[in-house]
Amino acid sequence: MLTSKAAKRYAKAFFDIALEQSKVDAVAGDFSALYAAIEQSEELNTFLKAPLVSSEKRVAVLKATLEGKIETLTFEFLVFLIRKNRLDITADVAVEFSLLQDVAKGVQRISITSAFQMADEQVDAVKSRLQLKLNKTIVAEVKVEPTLIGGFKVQVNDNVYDLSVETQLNKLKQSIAKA
Amino acid sequence: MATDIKPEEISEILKQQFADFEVSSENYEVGTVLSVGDGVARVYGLANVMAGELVEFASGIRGLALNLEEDNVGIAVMGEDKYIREGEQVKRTKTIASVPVGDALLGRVVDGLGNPIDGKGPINNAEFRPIEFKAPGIMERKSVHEPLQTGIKVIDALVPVGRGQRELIIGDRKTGKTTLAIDTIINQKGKDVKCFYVAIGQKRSTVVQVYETLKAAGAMEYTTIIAATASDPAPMQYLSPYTGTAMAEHYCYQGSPTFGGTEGVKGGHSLIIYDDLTKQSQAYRQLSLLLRRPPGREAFPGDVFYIHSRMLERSVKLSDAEGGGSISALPIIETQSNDVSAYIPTNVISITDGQIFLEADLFNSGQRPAINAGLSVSRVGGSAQTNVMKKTAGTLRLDLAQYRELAAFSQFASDLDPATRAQLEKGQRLMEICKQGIGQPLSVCEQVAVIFAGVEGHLNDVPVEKVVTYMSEFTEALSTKYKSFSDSFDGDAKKAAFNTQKDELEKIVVEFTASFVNAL
Repeated sequence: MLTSKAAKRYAKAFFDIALEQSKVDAVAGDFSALYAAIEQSEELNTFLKAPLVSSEKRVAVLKATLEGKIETLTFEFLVFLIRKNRLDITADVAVEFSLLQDVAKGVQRISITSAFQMADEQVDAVKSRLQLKLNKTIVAEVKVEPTLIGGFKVQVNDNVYDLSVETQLNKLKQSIAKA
Repeated sequence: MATDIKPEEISEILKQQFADFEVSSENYEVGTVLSVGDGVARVYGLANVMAGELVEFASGIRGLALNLEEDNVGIAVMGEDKYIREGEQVKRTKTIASVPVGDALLGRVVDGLGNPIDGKGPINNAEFRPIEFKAPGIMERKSVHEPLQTGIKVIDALVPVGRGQRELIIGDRKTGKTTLAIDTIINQKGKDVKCFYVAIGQKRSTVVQVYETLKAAGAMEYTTIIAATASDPAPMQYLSPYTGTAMAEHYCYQGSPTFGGTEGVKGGHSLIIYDDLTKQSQAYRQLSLLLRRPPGREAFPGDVFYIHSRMLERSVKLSDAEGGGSISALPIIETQSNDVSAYIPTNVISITDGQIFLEADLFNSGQRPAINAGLSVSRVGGSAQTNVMKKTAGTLRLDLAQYRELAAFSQFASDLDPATRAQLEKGQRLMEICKQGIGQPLSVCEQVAVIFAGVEGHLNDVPVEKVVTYMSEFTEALSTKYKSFSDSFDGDAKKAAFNTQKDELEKIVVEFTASFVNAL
């Protein structure tokens, strides 16, 4: 996903502070919860992005809704974002924060797309192979896409390992057309 | 032949191909479309993509990675962008754009990426060449020395073109630029020169006309038409000249060990026409502006000079060690009301080895081809001109220049002295001599004979309005009555041989002129 450059900078600063205070996991949990909330609630999204709401009001609202429910450090981050008039990038900061956490922990996120629901053992088999190859902890997101006809596709960052029947059929079609 | 088709055989072939087909994992790199519009897609991801690499959208449309930015890639879409959606996957192909080349392309009409568009089926057994190729260095080259006969006498006499030369054809719309180029292609018949006609931003109907003309003249056998018409996307129009050049290079480098050819083989000769580079630079301007590259003069991007210079620099005459192949180029530029000082015309004039300047006024007054003899030059062609032509046409340029000056001056004078009048009379006939019809290329012998008759003053007794008839009858006589002379004619004759040849020609001209005047 494309995030703004500012989000990267803020996320890095927040991450370093969280690391110093060894609160990375807690803050990351808060950010992912916040991200989920923003994704779900159109109202929250509007509130964060609307330019007409004054800073004082924003702080007050956040205080009323979030204080006590999230880490003090996370709350301070949000207040800092309000002061810098950057509350609109909260979601992006959350994304970048989790990426930084992944790098620090040696986690590689992948997505597995298959034609049918894969059994847990199958997913584990794919994961363990990649774990050996990449030497990282693999966190997989599993998706089902019937258009693949059969087989599966694994995407690691920009690289796709395609073992789907759809692609194989296309390859066969091309090899016959070219012969 | 329908009875020859056997279903069992087809099944067998398919079975074989299926058996040979290996199921293996496909590994590729992808990106995601962020936005698309105006033929340009912005893509996130594709972290390792190379500049100029071909990419493929999930919808099957191909694109060219042009702008590599910090967090996204700007891709010129070579197809209709309305089929590309936000969030769509884009695949790397890991290849710089390359096109089919070789004999399979002769006689074909292809688009800007070398795909056939003439409905004659796929191009088989073709080799591939990258469309971008670095021009040869200094040591691999040789200066231009063999003539490229255009078959148009004014050009071969006044602005000779050599093999490996870049000669610009410049002029307003409707002045016969394309006709000149097409006639040159037609004249290459039997001369072992492969021709490539790149139509950029033209009407499809015009391309069809060109195709029909070439086919009727039997010139399609050694010609490929590369057509990126006005309805094709701007990236295709921008790329098509490079595509054509790559196809021409295939022949040129056949004998060049440095550039992948075989040593000892003679390099081939190609002629490429870019019709026209004005449209190509406009397509590139569109592309650059949409990619948000900074605009410069006339809103052209900063590298508009470079796109033409690197392309025309690929036209080359290779040294003997490299097989001696050549690519000659005739780029065409369309001017607006004779303004050669606009941005693109000045650029291309400075790159090329001379220009043929066509004028609307001359064209409309019936002087066709409408070549302005004063402004047209060939900077290197002189050394490629045949010896006999050089000697014969030596004074033609001067005579024409003097005539123009006198003609302008004599408009105000009622009484002229006999010497001036004689010069005017001769000038008028020389102007007539320069005329030539469409699709009537002349051999060196015919050109020399006609120009000889004019320059040496043998036409003084022929009325001005009869000179054109004289010419056509004379060239006909050369291929019938005086066939022995035309057959033994040697364009490269030196001293003694030249003099005897000249004496013989003089005799023929005098004899023919006398009979022509008597018959009037």
